[in-house]
Order: sequence, then structure tokens, then C-alpha cells
Amino acid sequence: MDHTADISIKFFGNTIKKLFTNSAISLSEIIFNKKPEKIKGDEKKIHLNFSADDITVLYIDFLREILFQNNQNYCYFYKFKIIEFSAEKLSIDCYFYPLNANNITQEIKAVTYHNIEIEKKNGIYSAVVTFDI
Amino acid sequence: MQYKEFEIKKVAKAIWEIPRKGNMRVPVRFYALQSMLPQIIKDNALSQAVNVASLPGIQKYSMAMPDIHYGYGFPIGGVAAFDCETGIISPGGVGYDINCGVRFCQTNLFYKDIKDKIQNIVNGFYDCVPSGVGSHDAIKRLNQNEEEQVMIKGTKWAIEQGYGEISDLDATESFGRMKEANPDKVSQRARSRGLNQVGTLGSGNHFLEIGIIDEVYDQKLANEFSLEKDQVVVMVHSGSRGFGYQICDDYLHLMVRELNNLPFSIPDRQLACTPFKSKLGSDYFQAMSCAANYAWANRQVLMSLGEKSLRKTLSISKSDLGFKLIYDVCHNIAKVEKHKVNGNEMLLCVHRKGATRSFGPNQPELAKKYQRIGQPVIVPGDMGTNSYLMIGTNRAMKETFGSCCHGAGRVMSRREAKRRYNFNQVKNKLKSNGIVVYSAQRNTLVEECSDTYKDVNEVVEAVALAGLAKKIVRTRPLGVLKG
Repeated sequence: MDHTADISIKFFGNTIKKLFTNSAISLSEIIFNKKPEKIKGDEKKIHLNFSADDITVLYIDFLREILFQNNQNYCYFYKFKIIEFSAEKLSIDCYFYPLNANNITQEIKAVTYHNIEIEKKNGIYSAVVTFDI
Repeated sequence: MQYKEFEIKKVAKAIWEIPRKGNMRVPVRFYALQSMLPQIIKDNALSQAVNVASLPGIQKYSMAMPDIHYGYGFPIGGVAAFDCETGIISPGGVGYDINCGVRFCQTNLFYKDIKDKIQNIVNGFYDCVPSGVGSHDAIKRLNQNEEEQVMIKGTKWAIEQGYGEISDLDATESFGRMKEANPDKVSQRARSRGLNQVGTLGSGNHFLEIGIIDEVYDQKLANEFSLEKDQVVVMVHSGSRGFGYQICDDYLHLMVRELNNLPFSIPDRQLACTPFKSKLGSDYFQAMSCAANYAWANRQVLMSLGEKSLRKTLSISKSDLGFKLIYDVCHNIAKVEKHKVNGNEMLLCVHRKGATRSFGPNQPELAKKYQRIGQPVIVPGDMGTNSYLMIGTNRAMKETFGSCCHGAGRVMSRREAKRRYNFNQVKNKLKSNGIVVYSAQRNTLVEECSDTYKDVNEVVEAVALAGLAKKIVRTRPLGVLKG
């Protein structure tokens, strides 16, 4: 979506869980400009835990961590397995391909909390996230 | 004139005000030519300036410079000063790229000396300065101790390593160091991101540029700096890289979690803040100061790499090149400064997000040589148009806590730029204007093309009319290395 200085992206999911995982996979695709089927390499897994006062902050905190792993450890996330999920807690297995610095094509500095709201309309969950680039 | 439910009143030439309404604690005051108003209103950034006006401890006005554009939380081009006793500090009011800034350097060369060598100069810049997404390893990877020295000493650390001259300290805002820096307040994550990025440009609108002075507005001031028409100058634009982004992210996260415990509410989580005097406020300020110092060290190394590259490409000696830093300013920062409010001197935490300090003469914070004339202010345009060297004024001290604009300011999203233009169109247009550009990413060149920015000449005209800074010289670019 248009944003004068940075970028805003609208993510979707059939369920709230899908909104979380679709957003994280999309982030990897944007940063590395690659589809998962185009990547070959050793598959790896990390386990992450999050807690927050509400679902919106939980969502942004999850994306912040995914972005950090994208930028610093060059993890391309392609699959997730949610172990525990509530409005205040997320426990998740994250599967990734380890890439390298040269594979990054789009720098995203940060996930912002700017005007963040998770919406449900006609059974579809969505959120507009603004990234600092 | 009406903006949503708010009234816009003309105060004076190039000065406009939105009176207090609703939750606003102070009015919004913004600076612009009348012709710029439709675009500013359309961009909706004024709503962000209105939101800032509601934050506790804000003094006088929530201000916006003529390069204002829509950001997240605070507008870009915004200035807000908060009482250190009763007010807040906000990482979003500084931005992720802490102490992103720009420096302006002069040389002994003139246009005739380099006009046939621009391509070689840009190639040389590219070879010496890592640029683009995640750029790294310009200099030897730091160890933890060395990184702490960067956090504490800033520019001075770089000079001690052989990058630049001791005289550069006087020509750098705050002498290239915020004394409040405390590495104990910086996370391991930020530290790990900072180890290999000193001396790198990064991506986006960051650049290393060679150009010439094409217009002198104030001969007397130009003489003070030994600047004249056709003289070759170099500019550097970069910040604190991943180190600064991580510090902002770490503390924003902590402040968002504390929001429910604050005695006031905020209209957007990205405005998350905390009392300046609280432990969290103090911790952020100390960590932010580390990132500010990191950014100054980064620009010092970048400048030095650029100088060495020029000497090598042109096969000339250090004395023949005569490379000299005129000034370095930051435009994403929070600083504790003394200013007069309603006749009383107050200690304020001044947030400048996409705004430049513009101190006038006789300010004790300035080096002796600038106390007589004021502080140089650098206003870079986009890669295809002009940039300006200006000087701070006493009017800015009275009106804007000594602040003015930081650049041209975007008017078009990156997405729209890619819809409208392609790489070859942009490159060819620059070439036809005699500008050689190298960009690590093809997309960057399209996203940063001239049409995506306001006319920097109008922006500068507005701050000059309002008396926030005075024009000294204008430059035009010849060769640009983009991030």
C-alpha cells in the first residue's frame, strides 16, 4: 500500500493463526525476493515464545523477531508450526533455510506499531503493517 | 483554510498555525510557501503533527518544517521540545536511524579539474565504500571493546584510528559525541549488528556525492568558509546503521509494554514514550546517545574513505586535494538543550525527526569559530537537483528551538515511483543532466528519482523567508554513489 516515506503492507489470513504465519512468510519473500520453492538448502528450525498484553502487540512482536532473524541471521522462513496460541501468548516452531547477506535484496529496518489494528471482515483476518525502510 | 476538523491560520510569510483543539496541549506551527500547502494537506502528515501536540510536557508548538511528509507516529520534518522535568522522551520522535545526518566537505579543486573524470570518481567511491542493503566490512570488524569505544567517543574514535583530522571535531555537531552515552544500556543484539558496519553507507536515500558550487548567495559568509563558484565539494549522508535501528526497536518495544501504566493515553502506539526523568526514559537516552556517537564515527570513516578514494582516482596529494570538513549535522535525534520559553530559560528534550539543528551566533554549544557567525546547516536535495549550505540564525533560536529543514522531503511513495518510472529512464535523465550515478540496487535509483521529492529550492526558500536559516551557497551534483 502507498506510504510516502516507507512501505505499508496488508497481510491476510483465513484464521488469526494464518494471519501470523502468512505475514512472516511474506516478509521473508519480500526481503530475499524469492519464493520458497526456488530455494535449496538445509532446512533448520528454531523455537520462539512470545507474550504480550494483547493480540496486536503479540503480532508485531512476532514480526519484529522474524525480521531480526531475516536481517541478522539470514533466515528464510517458509513454514511454521504453532504449538500454543492465545491473545496473549504464542509458542511456535519456525522452519527456515539459512541464506547469506548477499541474498538480501530489500532492506527493511524495522516493523513499526504505527496505527496497527487487526481486522476481521467476512471471515478474513487482515492487518496493515508499516515498515521503516 | 480548513484541514479536516482543524483551521489553518496564516501567521506570517511562510508561517502557518493550527490552533489548539481537542487533546492538543499546544498549537501546531508549520513552515511552508503557500504553493506547498495543497501537497502538505494531501499527504496527511499534519495529522501526525496534531498527534504530537497532545504529548505531555510539549512546549510552545508541535512544529513541522517545509519538508514535512507522512511518517509513522511523528511526522518526518517534525520538531517537538518537551520539558525535561514534566515531559516525555519518545524513540519514535527520533526514528530508527538514530543520528542519520549529513556532512559537507570542501576541496581545493574546481570543475575544470574533474569534469572529464566523474565516472572514474564514482567508480572509485564504489570500490572504497560498501553501499546498499546490509553493507558491511568497510574497515576491520570491531571487537566488543572497540565497539564500546565507538559508542563512548564517537567521531574522536575514528580520528584516533587515522580517519580524518582532529580539527574535524570542531566542525561536527556536538563535537561528534554525546556525553550521555552509556554502553551498559545497549542490548547484545544491537552490539552484534554494529560490529561490522562502521564506514558503510547502507541503502535507501543514503549517498556519497561529489558536486560543485553553482550559486553563491552570501559572498561574505562564503568567504568565511573559503567557498567560491565552481569549487568541488563532497557530501556524505548516512546514520547509525543496524546498530541504531536495533536500539530504537528495543526501547520502543519496552515503552509499548508500559503504555497502560502511564497516566495519559496516546493516539498511535508508534508515539510510545515515557517520562524523560523515568528510569526507562533515562536508559533510552543513554542508549540513543551511543547510537548517535556510532553514527558520527560512521560518517567520519565514510568521509575519510571518500577522500582517500578521490586522491587515488585523481593521483593527487593530500595538500593538493585540500579536503576539509565544513560541518556535520544530524537530523534524527533527541538532545537536552537550554531554550527560552515565555522569557524563562528551560531545560528541554528537543526531538528533531527529519529536522536539522540551526543554531545562530553566540551559542555556547558551538565551537569558537562558529560562535561569531552561527552554525552551518546542510540541506541536501535529491540526487538530480541542488543542495544548500546555509547558516543558523537567532530567529530560529527564538522560533523553533534552533531548528530548520533537513532536505527536500518525499512526495511520492516508492511503490508509485516504480509504477511510473523505470531504471533506464531515471539513469538516462540523470546522464542528460551531466550526473553520473551508481546504485547498489536498481530499484533504489527509481525509488529515489527527483520526481519523488519536493523541490528543494522551494523548501529552502520557505525556511529562508521564515528566517530559520540563511542561504550561503547552492551546489549541484556531478557524481553520486547511492545506497
